[in-house]
Amino acid sequence: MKKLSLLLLFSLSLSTIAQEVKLEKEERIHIEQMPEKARLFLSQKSLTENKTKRYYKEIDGDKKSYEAKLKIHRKTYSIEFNTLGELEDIEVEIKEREIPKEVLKNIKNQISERCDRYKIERIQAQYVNTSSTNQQEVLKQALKKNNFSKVNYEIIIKLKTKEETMRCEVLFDSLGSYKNHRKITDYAHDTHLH
Amino acid sequence: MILTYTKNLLVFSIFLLGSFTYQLHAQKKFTGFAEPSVSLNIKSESPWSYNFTIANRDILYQKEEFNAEIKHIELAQYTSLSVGLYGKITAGIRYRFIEMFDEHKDNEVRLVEQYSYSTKIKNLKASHRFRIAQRFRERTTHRFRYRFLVDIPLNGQRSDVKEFSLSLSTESVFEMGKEEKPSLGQRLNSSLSYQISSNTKFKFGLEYRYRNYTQTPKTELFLLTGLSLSL
Repeated sequence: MKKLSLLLLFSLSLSTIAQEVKLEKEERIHIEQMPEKARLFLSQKSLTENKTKRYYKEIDGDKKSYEAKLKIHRKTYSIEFNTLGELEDIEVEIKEREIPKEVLKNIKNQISERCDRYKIERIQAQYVNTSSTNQQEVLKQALKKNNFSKVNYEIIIKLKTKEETMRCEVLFDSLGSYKNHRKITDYAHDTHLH
Repeated sequence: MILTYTKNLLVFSIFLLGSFTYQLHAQKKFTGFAEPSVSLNIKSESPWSYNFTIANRDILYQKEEFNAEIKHIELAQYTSLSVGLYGKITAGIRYRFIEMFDEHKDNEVRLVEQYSYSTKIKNLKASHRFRIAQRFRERTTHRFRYRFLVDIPLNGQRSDVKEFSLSLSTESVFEMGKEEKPSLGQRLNSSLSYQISSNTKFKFGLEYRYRNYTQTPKTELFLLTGLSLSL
């Protein structure tokens, strides 16, 4: 029953998809422009092994945040901080096969119910820093990817409905239940013509 | 903020085009053009989209002399249909007003049919375009073209408002017709785009064309500027 109601919620929200738009804007910055607490967090040994780190300032609607992107053991990590430099979440790019089978099936069923065609372009396992956890615990979970009970899956899909083709960011919880979604705006004009 | 890697990209593309320009200087069969354009894109929630463009081509350098003269004015209309998740089929018509600037030449009608396929690879956008065209003027010419384009955001991971992006492309052009020998050409394009607002974009670029390189090669360099509005 719970699954059915979530499916219904996802279906309804996809039908009104145009209202929820991802207005995220990223600007590349130097590490010196990151908040001090964030710099301190990023300087710990487990995060300093790789050489290529990129830093971004993000504006998502009214919300401002900072993000570091780095690679650890060939996996891309995005570590997001608030303006005070406190950890918000850690996202790790993963493959479909890394999601538990039942969860992946659940996610795919919910997506395919609502569109004619779709393609999963990117999956990120999202470890959120909540009041009940601490920063080090979140980092440990993200690095080991061994605690699937506290993970969210942030999925970028390209989908086609009867009305339109769009790119969408959809968030599912650890059981594959729909949480929310946002349409991703594309400023591509007419590169295919001129 | 443009950081080191984007600066390197810009320097590389300027170097590439700079070296072409240097080579061109030594070539007699070289023509330099300017081509400003304004286009209006209409997108609906349906899979259909429409484009209207007005462009003008001016000769800036010809026969080893700087010489500003209008070559033609062009009106174009394209209608596109999204197919699949990443594909687009387009049909278009272009009309070139040439007679009013050169009485020895006829106006030209050009029909265009194309298929394009664009995907995202990390933060890059890569697109393939297959285009055929029929040029109706004093004689009829058929064109077969393939273009590969990469679009690179220069600020952050994607191009947002008030941000720059760099496009690099290469295109092969094969021409044939009853009254002409088949010919092959290659085009290299590098352009910088600035997203002025969510529906307005300005583009500035250089395009190098090496035409008919199997028989009597000639080279052209285009200075391209374009304002693109989206509804």
